[in-house]
Amino acid sequence: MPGLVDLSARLREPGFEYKATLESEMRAAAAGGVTTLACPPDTDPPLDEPGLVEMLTRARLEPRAARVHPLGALTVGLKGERLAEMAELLADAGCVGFSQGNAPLPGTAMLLATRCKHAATFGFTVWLRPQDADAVARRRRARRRGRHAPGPGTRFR
Amino acid sequence: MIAETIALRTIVETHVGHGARVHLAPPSSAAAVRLVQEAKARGAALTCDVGVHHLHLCDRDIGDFDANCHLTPPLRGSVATAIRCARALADGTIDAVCSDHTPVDDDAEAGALRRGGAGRHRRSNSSLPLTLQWGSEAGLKPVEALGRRHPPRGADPGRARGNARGRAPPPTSASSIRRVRGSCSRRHSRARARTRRSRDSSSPAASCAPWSAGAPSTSPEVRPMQNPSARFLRRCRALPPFAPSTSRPRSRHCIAEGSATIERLAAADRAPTWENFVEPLDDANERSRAWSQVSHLNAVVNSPPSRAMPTTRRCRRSRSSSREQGQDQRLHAGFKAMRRSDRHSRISARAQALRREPAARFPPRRRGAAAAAEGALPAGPGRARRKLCLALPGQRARRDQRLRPLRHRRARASGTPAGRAATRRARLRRRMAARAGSSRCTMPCYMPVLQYADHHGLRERMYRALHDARLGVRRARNGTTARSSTRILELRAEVAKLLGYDVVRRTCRSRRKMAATPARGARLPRGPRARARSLSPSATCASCANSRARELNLADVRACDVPT
Repeated sequence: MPGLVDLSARLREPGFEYKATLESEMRAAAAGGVTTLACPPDTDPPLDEPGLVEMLTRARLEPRAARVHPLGALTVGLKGERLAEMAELLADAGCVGFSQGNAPLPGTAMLLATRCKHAATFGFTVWLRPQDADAVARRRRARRRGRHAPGPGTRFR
Repeated sequence: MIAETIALRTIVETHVGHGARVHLAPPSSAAAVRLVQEAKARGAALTCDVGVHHLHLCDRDIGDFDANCHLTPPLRGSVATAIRCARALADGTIDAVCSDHTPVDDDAEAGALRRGGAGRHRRSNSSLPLTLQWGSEAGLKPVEALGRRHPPRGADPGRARGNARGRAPPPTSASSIRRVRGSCSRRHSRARARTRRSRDSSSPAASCAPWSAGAPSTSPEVRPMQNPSARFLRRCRALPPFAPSTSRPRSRHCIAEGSATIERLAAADRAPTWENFVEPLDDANERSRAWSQVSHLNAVVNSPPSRAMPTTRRCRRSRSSSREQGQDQRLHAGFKAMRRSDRHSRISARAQALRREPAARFPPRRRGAAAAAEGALPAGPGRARRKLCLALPGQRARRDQRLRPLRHRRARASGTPAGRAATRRARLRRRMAARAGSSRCTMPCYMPVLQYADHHGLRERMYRALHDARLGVRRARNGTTARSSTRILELRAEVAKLLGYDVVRRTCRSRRKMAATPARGARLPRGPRARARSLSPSATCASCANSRARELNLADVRACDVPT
C-alpha cells in the first residue's frame, strides 16, 4: 500500500500543545498510514511568518515522521484584513498553499479577488473553506447574547 | 448553510475571473456540492476535498449533543446529504477525501457540544477504515478507494511546491483537471501505476472522459450508497420494503377520503362549530397530506422508488390540498359563519370588558391585594393581565419575591438624578409592557389553523395547546383526560398503515415528534412554559388556563384561547 496523503490535519503546534503535540500527531498519522500531510495555518500564532513555518517543516527531519507541508496564512493573523506577504516569505519558507483555516473568508470580495490575482501570478493554490464572514459574525454575536442563531429547522414531522 | 453557499458563490465568481487555482475545504451541504459541480462544469480550476466523517455521519448522529459529532463544518445535512457527498466523491465532483484531523483536549472530547472547540481526536487513525468502508459501499475496490486519499493535482502538496517557485500555473481548462494520482513518495510509484491500471480497467468511462461537465453520469458501476442508519433500520426490521404498486391505490384512497370529507362538511346545513367543522377538516387535511410520511421515511431510507413516489403523485396531491380544500368557497363561508357565531362574540365581549376595567373582575379580597400590588407595578397595557396572574391563590409569597427586584430597583433609582430615574422607569415600563403583551388573551380565530396548515411547527403547537387546554379544564371538571393527542397519533398510524407501513409505532410515535402518551403530552411546550415562568415562578400552563377560564367564566377553553 502506498503511503497516504492527508489534505488537512491539524498538528496544534505551536500554541495548542495542551490539545496535541507534534510528536503525538505524528504517531497518529503513522498509525493511520499517512506519510504526507498538509497542515492548515490556524495555530496560535497563525503561520504568517517564515520562522513558524520552518519549525513545522523541520519536523520532517526526524526519522519515521510524516512529511509536513504547511499551508501559510492567507491574511495576517487570519483576521481577513491584510494579505500576508505570501510570495516573499512563505513560499520560500516551504508553504505549499495559502489558507484561512477555519476562519471565515474576508468580508470584501475585492480582497478575495486581490489574493486570487496574487495566487494566479505566483502560481500557488488557495485553500478556502466556504464560509461567509457576515453570517459567522452574526452567529457569534447571537451566541454572546445567549441566544442561538436560527439553525436549520427540524425536518421531520 | 446559507453562509456556505454565499461564500462558495463568491469564491467561484472571483476566482474564475482571475484564473487562480483554488482548493475547497469540505462542503457540508448538498447545495454546496451542487455548486462545486456546476463550477467545475463551467471549467473552473477548482478542486475539493471532503472530511471522511461527512461521508458517514449526518445531523441525526449528533443525538443528545454528542461531542464526538462536533465537527467543522458542522453536520448540517440529513442522511441524504451524506449520501450525496459520498456519491459526489465516487463520481469525482469531490476530488479527494481527507481526515480533517483536529485534535482537541480531553475536556472538549468528553464534554457537551457547546464547550470546547470542534474536532475529532485521532481522526488520522480512523480515516483509513472509514475510507475503505466508503469504498466498499460505493462498489470500489480497496485500492481504488485509497486512490481518493491522494490529492488532486492542484492541491497536491508535493507538486504545489514546485509551482510555488515561480513556474506558470497549469492551464485552467476543464480537460486538464483530472482526479486522483497522488505523488506522495517515489518509492510507491509502481504501486500507484498498478492502482491506476486497475482503476482504468474497472471503469472505462471514467478513464476516457475528461473530468468535466456531465461527469456524474459517467460512472455506471457506482451503486447507490447505503448509509449506516438505513442498514441499522433494515436489520431491526422497523420498515417494510416500500412498494409503489401497493401504495398508489392506498394514496388514492387517502385523497378520495379527504375529498369526501370536504364534500360532506360543505354540504352540511347545521351551524359550524369547532367540533363539527374544523376538527374533521383538519383530520382530512392530515390524511390527504399522507405524503409527508413518505417524505419522512424517504429521509430515513433513501431508495429510488421512495424518491419517485411523491413525485408521481404530486400533481394530484397538490390539487387536493390547494384547490379542493384551500379554495373552497363553501368552507370559507363556514369559517365566516363560525366567526360570527354567538360563542365567538361572547368571548370577545368578555375579553374586551376584562381589558377595559380589570379590577372589577377580581373578588373583593383579592382586589385589595391587586391594588396593593399596583403601586409597585409600573403602569402599562399589560397591567391587567399581570394582576390576574398575581391574584392566583397561593401565589402571594412568590408575588412578593417577584416584586422585590422592582422595589430594589426603585430604591436604587431614588438616589440618582431625576432624569435618569425617569428614564430607567420608562425603560422598565416599556419592557414590562412588551412582555405583558404576549400574554394577552387572544381571540379565537380559526382561519390560521388551515391557513398555515403546511407549517408543521405551528400546527404541532396548536395541537399541543389544544391538548393542554382540554387537559387542564376537563381534568378539573370530571377527571377524564383529553384525546386530541392520541387522536392525532391514531390518524397518523392509520395513514401510515394505508401506505403500507405496519410498524408505524416506532417511526411515528417516537418521543421527539409527538407525545407517546397523554401524560407526556401534558408536559408543557416550551413557549407557554417560558411565559408562565415570567409571570410567576411556579405557574403552569394548566393553572394559567384554569385561571383564565375562571376569570372569563367560560365553560371550556379552546386552543385559540391559550397564547402560544
